[in-house]
Amino acid sequence: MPPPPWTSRFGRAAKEIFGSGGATSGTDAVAAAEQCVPALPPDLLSEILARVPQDVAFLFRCALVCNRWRRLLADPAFLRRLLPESGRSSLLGFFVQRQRPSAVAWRRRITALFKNRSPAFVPAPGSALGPRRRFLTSFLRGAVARLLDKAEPLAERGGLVLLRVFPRGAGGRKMFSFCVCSLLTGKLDVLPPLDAACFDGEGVRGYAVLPSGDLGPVPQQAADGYSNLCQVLLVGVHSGGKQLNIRSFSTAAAASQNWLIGITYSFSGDGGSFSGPFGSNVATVCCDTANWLFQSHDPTGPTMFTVDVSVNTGHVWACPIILDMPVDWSNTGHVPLLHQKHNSLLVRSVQCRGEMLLAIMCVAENSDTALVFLYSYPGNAYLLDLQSKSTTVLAGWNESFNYKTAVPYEINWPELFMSRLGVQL
Amino acid sequence: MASAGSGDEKAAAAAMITLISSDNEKFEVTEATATLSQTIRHMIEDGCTDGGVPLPNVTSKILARVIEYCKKHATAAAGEEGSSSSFSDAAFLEVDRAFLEELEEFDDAFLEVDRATLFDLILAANYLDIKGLLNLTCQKVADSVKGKTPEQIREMYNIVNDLTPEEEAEIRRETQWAFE
Repeated sequence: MPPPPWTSRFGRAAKEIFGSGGATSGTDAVAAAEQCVPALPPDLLSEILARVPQDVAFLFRCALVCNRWRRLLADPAFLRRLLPESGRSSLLGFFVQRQRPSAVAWRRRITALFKNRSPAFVPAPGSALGPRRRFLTSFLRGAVARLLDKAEPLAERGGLVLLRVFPRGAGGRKMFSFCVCSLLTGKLDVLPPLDAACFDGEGVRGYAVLPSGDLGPVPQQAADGYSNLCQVLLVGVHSGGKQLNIRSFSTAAAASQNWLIGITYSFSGDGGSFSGPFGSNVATVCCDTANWLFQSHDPTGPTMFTVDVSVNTGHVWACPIILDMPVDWSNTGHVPLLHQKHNSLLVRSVQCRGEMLLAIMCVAENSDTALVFLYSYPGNAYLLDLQSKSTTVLAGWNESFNYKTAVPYEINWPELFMSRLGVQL
Repeated sequence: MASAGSGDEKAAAAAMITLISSDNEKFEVTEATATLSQTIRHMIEDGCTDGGVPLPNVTSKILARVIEYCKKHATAAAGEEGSSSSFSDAAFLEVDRAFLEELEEFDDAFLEVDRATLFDLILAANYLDIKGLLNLTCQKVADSVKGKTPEQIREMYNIVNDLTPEEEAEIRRETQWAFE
């Protein structure tokens, strides 16, 4: 057999034969070939889509092509391949309350700017949702604006946002009302009201919202294939700062519909008291426990410890910890922060490069970012990269928003794709 | 260790393998070329290549192109191995760079085919398990899809929209909710 022309070793020759050769056979022939192009090889669709650039909005829109594409884009195994570990969750932005200034002129100006009094969503720099500000209500279905009027965001985890709400005629300030919004399903669940007296008038100090993924195997999935089940934990300091009071509510325990009184944790020493939580009032979740950092003040001096609540049993215990930083850090520019890494709980000292840290507002744990205030510019909110200790100012949002209420929104892309595209249509 | 490896390489280069397309055309290639395909490499390792390797899923037209690709890239792989022993030599690096550029040009030219051929190449690359070729061809399709609307994608690749209007409206709502 004579060596066929394609055995030519060099690209240019191959191009002459196949590139221009194909073209000289006539554009009509090419057009005809295009006409009867088979569909993309079905088994290899995943190979192709996995190579599409990492643009989540574009990928999501690809589900509109046909059912096969939609099914693939909701397939957990494919999503794991499509989105590398580092790109699976990203910080989209923060939910934050509007400022409620006492000065009438200022209040009027803000009211004119924002028609809606529900928490706003302020995108983080480079957010996948774009730079546009919007409201929490835009993530939810149905008419919820009235319920979320003046609502205070408290915690977010796994696409669930815990908020304190102020429904009309619900006992005013004597009752605490909370709701949980699912950013994945757009659903809102109102929790039964809780008598504020159980927190001794001092209010709730620590929060946790634990989606079903944190609660072990889920007995049954919701009808839309995505579970809205979660557990909410509240921690208060009681009896003049000598006792921790824990309340929990599980949306799975639909029969009881009551807040459970967790085991209270009492301070054992004489004359001591608690303060905290430090770093963040949202629990750090590690190995099925929700953990907060507290400080005790007893006659021998201050000690740091973590308060750990078992997610499964509700059991509460405290663990003294030794810090490699001064216990009185108030003038050091360091702030201690609980941190979960590789299933172990650490306390790390947070600081920023060349600046004194004033306070941590909230922590986006998966993206290793915190929203902070600095001594030098207390009017601005900054994003602090906890790894590099560098800061980025969140431009211009300090006048309109009460950043003390900020709660980060970290999205898990595979979860979003599965819940939004995997539904039985 | 390195010298043993290159010794094997030379021995492999000498051996010839016969590949038989679905339409019974025979192609004789060096082992170094053939083993770019993991599928054929395993066959060689199992010693079942005597009398030729039948490839019932690949036509002669496509096999010819696949071999063209493998030959070029087998040379590239051999070239890389040669240069690694004297990587500090600037002249060698220069040659390397020029060769990589040539390889890129080759790949670009190689992809100038109609879509039917491109899909056949993807199928063949997948069946023969040639990572580089699969990557090259799939990336080409992925790039062509980039930034297109679902309608344009359907049109480009003759995809029948089997979503009902209700389903389509539902997904559109989801998209709006999440990204607009």
